[in-house]
Amino acid sequence: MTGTHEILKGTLDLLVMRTLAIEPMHGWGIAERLREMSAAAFDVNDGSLYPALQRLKSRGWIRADWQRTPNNRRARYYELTGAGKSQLDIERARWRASVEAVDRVLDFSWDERA
Amino acid sequence: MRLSGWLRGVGERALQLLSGRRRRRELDDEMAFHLEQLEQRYRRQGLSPEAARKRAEIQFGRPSKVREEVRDATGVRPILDFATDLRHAVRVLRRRPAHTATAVLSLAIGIGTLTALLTVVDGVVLRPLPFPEPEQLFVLWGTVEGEDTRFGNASAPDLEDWRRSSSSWTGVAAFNSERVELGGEVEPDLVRIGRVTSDFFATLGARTVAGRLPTAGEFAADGRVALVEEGAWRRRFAADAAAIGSTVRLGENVYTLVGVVEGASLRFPSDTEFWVPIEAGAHRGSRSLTAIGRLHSNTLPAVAQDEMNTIAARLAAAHPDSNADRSVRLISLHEHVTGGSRAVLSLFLGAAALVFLVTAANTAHLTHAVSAERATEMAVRRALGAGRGRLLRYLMTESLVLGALGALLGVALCAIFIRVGSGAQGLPLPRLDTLGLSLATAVAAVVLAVAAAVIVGVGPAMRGSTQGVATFSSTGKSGSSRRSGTLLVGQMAVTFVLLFGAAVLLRSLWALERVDPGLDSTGVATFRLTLPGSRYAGGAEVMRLHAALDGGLRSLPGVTAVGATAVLPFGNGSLGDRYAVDGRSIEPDSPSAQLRGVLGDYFEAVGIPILEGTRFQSGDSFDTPPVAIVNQTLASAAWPGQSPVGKTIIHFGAERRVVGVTGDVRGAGLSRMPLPTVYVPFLQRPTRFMSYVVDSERPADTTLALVRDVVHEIDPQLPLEAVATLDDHLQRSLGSYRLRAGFLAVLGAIALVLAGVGIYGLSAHLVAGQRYEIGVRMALGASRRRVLRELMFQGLGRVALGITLGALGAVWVGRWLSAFAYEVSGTDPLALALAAGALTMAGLLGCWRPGRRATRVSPVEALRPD
Repeated sequence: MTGTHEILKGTLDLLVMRTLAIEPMHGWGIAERLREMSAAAFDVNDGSLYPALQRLKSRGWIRADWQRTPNNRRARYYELTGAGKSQLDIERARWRASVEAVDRVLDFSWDERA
Repeated sequence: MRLSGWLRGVGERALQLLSGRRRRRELDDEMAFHLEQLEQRYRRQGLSPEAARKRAEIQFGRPSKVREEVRDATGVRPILDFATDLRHAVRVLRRRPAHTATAVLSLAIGIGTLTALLTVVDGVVLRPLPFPEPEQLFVLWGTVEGEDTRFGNASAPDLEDWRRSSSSWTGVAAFNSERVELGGEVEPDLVRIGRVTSDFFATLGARTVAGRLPTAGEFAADGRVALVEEGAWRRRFAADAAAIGSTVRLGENVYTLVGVVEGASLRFPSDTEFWVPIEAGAHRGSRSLTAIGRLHSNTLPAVAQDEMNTIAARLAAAHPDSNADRSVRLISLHEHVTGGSRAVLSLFLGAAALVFLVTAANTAHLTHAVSAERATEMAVRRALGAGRGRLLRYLMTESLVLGALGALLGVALCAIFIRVGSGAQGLPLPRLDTLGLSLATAVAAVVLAVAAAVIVGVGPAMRGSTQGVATFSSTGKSGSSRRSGTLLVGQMAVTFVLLFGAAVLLRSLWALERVDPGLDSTGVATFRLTLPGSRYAGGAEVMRLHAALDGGLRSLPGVTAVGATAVLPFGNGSLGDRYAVDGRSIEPDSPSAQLRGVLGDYFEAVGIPILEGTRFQSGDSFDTPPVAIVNQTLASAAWPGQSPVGKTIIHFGAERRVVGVTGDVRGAGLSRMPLPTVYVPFLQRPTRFMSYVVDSERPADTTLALVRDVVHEIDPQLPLEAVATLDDHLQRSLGSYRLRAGFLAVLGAIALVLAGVGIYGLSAHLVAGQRYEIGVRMALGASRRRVLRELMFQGLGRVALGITLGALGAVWVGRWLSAFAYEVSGTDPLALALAAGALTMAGLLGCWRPGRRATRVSPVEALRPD
């Protein structure tokens, strides 16, 4: 549509975990950080973050806590748990593997068979 | 790790569900904060407040959608949906009370019956015996090569040798069981006592609730200490601790009570109230004991069996006269206690399972018919966007509600069945008195409720959920009627098998009731006396008692004959030994005969004819030459073609002159052939038990009411029991046949009624679907008769198919059923015909009414659209 990519299903969870690996963050912060990190390449409704956060929380990969922001506002901060950290490694490896596989197919050339 | 993760998931969901409102408020706060931040950013980028808010809202997405997606992500969605479905299902079921009540009642009968049977099987057969490490306990069953040993099978010297020579056992004990009178009470009472060896309690692992277990020294053969069972202690001593140390007279002897044995740990042998030391005969051939042993925990039964075989072989070589061909077989105590009840319970369990299937199938028809009417509702719900899985779940919820209600009512029925069954006398099942609703009941009820819901719900649910939006007004007949037609055929087949089983067993019962017992039980009252040896030590005292009783009983109105016997026909008594005739001596292969001591006018009283010779004379007594009367079976076996009168017979160690021949009596039960029997004068072979028979011209019941007074006028301390008519005894001997036939007949009748209801329901549904077609045909001139006939053929075709399949099943079941039948084959054609006839009748009735109603409707009416 606008040159940005529709986010791959399931990838959002991975990206959220990645942003949280830097530091605990509230929903708004995660959205901002994602835009920053992807150079606004991903176009998602900010609201769709919240189901993703709930999913990760249900699986025990992140935990949530109400805290004060630097501007003294109440906000819910999310933080990666131990299980979440190892899960991020797994997901990252899985993502790399699938990207490589797709790359191999895309870059495949008949001459290389020999 | 995975489990804890799963648990956390479940916990989280429960928390989410409980804290729904708070969770939602928090989410709202979070979203408001987010929106605010977005808005501020856009304003910083120079947008007007209005435009910034608009942009923020667009960027964020619809809050209501986010809320819903978050709720879905928590995983509580299925639970909330289920709650909604449940409310709706209850509302729908309440809206059609007739269908719901029929379905619930039908399921309750099926679930209740099967649950009750499963509870019984669990309590009677499966539950371990109430002893510590019960799997180590065995009966050491004495066997004789080529014989089926039923009674006492160990002697004290054998037992001692087994103990000494074997290393497999931590203990070997022995017992026998007897009924004796309990002294010191106003009304003399008979109690069952176990006479046991001193290591009996340790071997079983019995515990005491008061007092203590006796020492080996106290429990020596001449020891006078006793233990009382917990239940008896509560009943007879009001659970008084002072009972320990008091004395109690049991039969001949006075015992000091030393302990109360915990009822749950030991009521063995069955019904025992007291245990006293055993005084076993020192003779190796006198085998009156049953031996039990506890294996060492590391000894395999097969190893112990090998060892016992070796020991038995050595004993046989050392004592050929008493131990030739004798061996020992290890039977687990559990098997010994429960083995006899397995066959009949599996019969009942099978029948109950069939009834459950029938009730579930029947409820499925009813639901089919109703769900066809609800095709429109389903179509509307689909049109409004309900997914297929969602509708399927809803429809399954409805049948789960039916299943759950059926199970609840079923458990109530089950409780009634169990209450009635465990209180019933004379059921051939052990441990019934300990039966109650158990964990097994609960598990069975839940599993059956789910099974019923699946059987009932899957058909309609599949159809209801796949129905297209377009089928708004159609009755959707083709698919549904085909499927419920198949179910109906299955139901018919199962019902046929049940009816066939009931017919075979009923025919057996009728055949048995027509059997000539060999005596005339009409008008005969009976009762049993147990003579205390202290007061009736010799023949003279017994003679005096009999003379007094004879006089007293004869003075009762209508009484024509009074006699007595040691063992009444149709009881469980048996007293047999080998015999030889004409001066020959008894060999190991000599035939066996039963011994019956009789007194007074016994033969006249019970109507056993004297075919040859004479009856006993009143002078035949303990001090006159031994005489005998033999029955026809023995006479023709021992003296074929000759008259036995004047010949001699050796039986139970005495040579007797035969003075007469009687007709045969089926004393061991109507289904058993008469046994060779030797009758002797009671005084020449007295026993402590005497069963009196009193023949009267009046009904036996009127005599029964009077005998107790007569006896107690003569000896107020004499315990009287088994006061019953001879007819009662005769009927009781048919008890197990009657129970089996009755049980299957009741279940068969239920299944038959349900079959009728099922056919009715289906053909009503079919006919409703063909109403238009019928209208057209009748408008074109088809006769009412013809249309009705064709409608009936439609229904009856399914019945016929069901009967055919059922007959195949019946033949298959029959091979196994014949074990319970008497003179009726497992493939009895008459039983097959009866079952087919009954089912056809039900089919005709079921098809006829809906068919007739359809053909009564005028074509104009039928063709009018809805």
